[in-house]
Amino acid sequence: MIKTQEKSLSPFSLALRKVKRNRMAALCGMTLIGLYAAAIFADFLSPYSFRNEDRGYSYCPPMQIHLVDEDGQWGLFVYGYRFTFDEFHRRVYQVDKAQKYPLRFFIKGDEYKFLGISLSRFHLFGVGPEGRIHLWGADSRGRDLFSRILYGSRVSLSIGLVAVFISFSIGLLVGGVAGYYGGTIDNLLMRLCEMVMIVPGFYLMLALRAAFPENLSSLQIYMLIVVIFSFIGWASLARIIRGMSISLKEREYVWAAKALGLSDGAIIIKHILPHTLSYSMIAIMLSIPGYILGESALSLLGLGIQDPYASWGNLLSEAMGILHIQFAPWILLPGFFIFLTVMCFNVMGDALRDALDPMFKEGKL
Amino acid sequence: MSEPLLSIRDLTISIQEESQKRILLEGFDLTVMPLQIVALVGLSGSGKTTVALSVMRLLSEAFSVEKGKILFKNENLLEQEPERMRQLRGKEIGIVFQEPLNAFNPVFSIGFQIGEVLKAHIPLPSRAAENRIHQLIEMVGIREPKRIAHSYPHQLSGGLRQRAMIAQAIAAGPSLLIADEPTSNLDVTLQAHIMELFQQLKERLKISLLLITHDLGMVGHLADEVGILLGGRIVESGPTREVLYNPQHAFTRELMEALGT
Repeated sequence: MIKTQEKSLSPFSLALRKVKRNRMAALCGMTLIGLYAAAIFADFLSPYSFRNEDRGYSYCPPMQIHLVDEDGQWGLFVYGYRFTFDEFHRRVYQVDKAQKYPLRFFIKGDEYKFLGISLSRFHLFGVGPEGRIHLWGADSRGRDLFSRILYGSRVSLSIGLVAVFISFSIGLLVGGVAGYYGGTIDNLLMRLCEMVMIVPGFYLMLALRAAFPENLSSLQIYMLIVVIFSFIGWASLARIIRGMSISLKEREYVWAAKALGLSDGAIIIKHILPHTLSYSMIAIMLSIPGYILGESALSLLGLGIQDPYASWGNLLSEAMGILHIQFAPWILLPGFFIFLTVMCFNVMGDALRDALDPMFKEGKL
Repeated sequence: MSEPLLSIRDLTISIQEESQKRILLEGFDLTVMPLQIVALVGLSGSGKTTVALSVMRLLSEAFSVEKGKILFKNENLLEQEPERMRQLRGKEIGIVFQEPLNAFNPVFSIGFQIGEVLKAHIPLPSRAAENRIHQLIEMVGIREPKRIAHSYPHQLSGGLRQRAMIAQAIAAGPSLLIADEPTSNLDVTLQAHIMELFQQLKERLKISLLLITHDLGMVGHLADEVGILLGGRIVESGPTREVLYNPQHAFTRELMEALGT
């Protein structure tokens, strides 16, 4: 007997297949996976900890990795800098070929907890204690920008996911319950949604942040931002899910589920909400960038993550002021990463929409 | 003889249509004894499905019960709390709908949806539940239970879907199965198979069947008792043999003539 397909593909894996076929989306997906992996292993990949500073390297420009030195000797190394002051007492760095620091791998450096479990001192690369390596330059206090961007990605990348998870859980639940039960419950929940929605998001965010004490630990601030975002984000989703749930509850399989004695909770969770998934998946993908930008905006204004802790937003806050940008353009790099992440999520969201839309014909775009 | 399993007494149901009320069922009586197959025959629009839904208490708010009782094992279903009703649905009374494609949720596999009924009524460890699902699918006469359990509703043929739906309805071991036009969307050979299946299930699982249909052929084969419904009223009822071979009411005679028997 000829064996046909053993297991049937679920609609989701079919959609995933389509997303993979879209090259742009696949590229963005890989980029995101790369960024998230880098965030997870940030302390191992970075040569320094986020608070390791050396004032001697203030605004030090990016260093180049060289392969061959003056005498034709091979090996990976960086040259050190020496600096002079210009007429505004700013440092002008010049490559000093006399200082040569070989690049070493799995070098011992600042201590950190690997994956939050085991203490470790090993870093992927670095130079010996006699010099410093700043691949993407350093900030005003001589902290390595490469390391700080890596550490900052932890906050910036995770905040979107956590906030989206919480706000969408609330949105789905409220929308599902409101639509399924209808009547007074529906009325109450929807009026509540509208009350949250009439306040402009960014100002609500500022006001909520202002309502809490200023001197919080960075973890507390992180949690606070997540809560604020979730509080703002759930309402619009809840309204749409409610509409879908009203039409879905009239489907025969919902009746059938009722006739088979399933509880209301099980019906909402299993037979109504999954059918809103194609919409909510897209909405999730497209709303993550909003949360990332929101965190950046808060931190840029100094209301979010506080120095010395890093997030892409507060790294960028150093780049406020045209003089700094002129003098040390590399401090804009976190902005590039915000841009890259936001763009990737948007492309992925669009690709997912095309993949989940049954009316979409290939080559139509 | 023992007590009736289901006894509907003087049931009157109306629907609110804009400003006026329309009577759907009037003074409706029906009795189903244990291990009996009772057929309810009528034209479309005569209120057959309303009977099925009112037993399940699934009528929407637009419908209202004017008077009457629905006694199931001496409990009046019309007076039960929603939670008690939920327990009864599936566990005591199972229902098979007319169009099985719509009755299955398209995003879950057949096995999952049968398992759901088990989960709601008789919690089993997952391995045992899986065996039970395969057993149920086999019981309704499907040969490859494993493959079918992993299939999605749209991948099955109409006959298989109808069988799967019956498997779902009997999953929690109800004592009464309501079948609302179970064969009207199937071709004649399949109808015969499904009829045979109902007969087998009745004997194997010791259940009663309330068969709602307009197919007198099926009634003649299966039913012990039959009720003829016309415009929301029972016009004739009794043992199948008597009603079909010696019809008293003009409408029954008309039905028989239409069949050409």
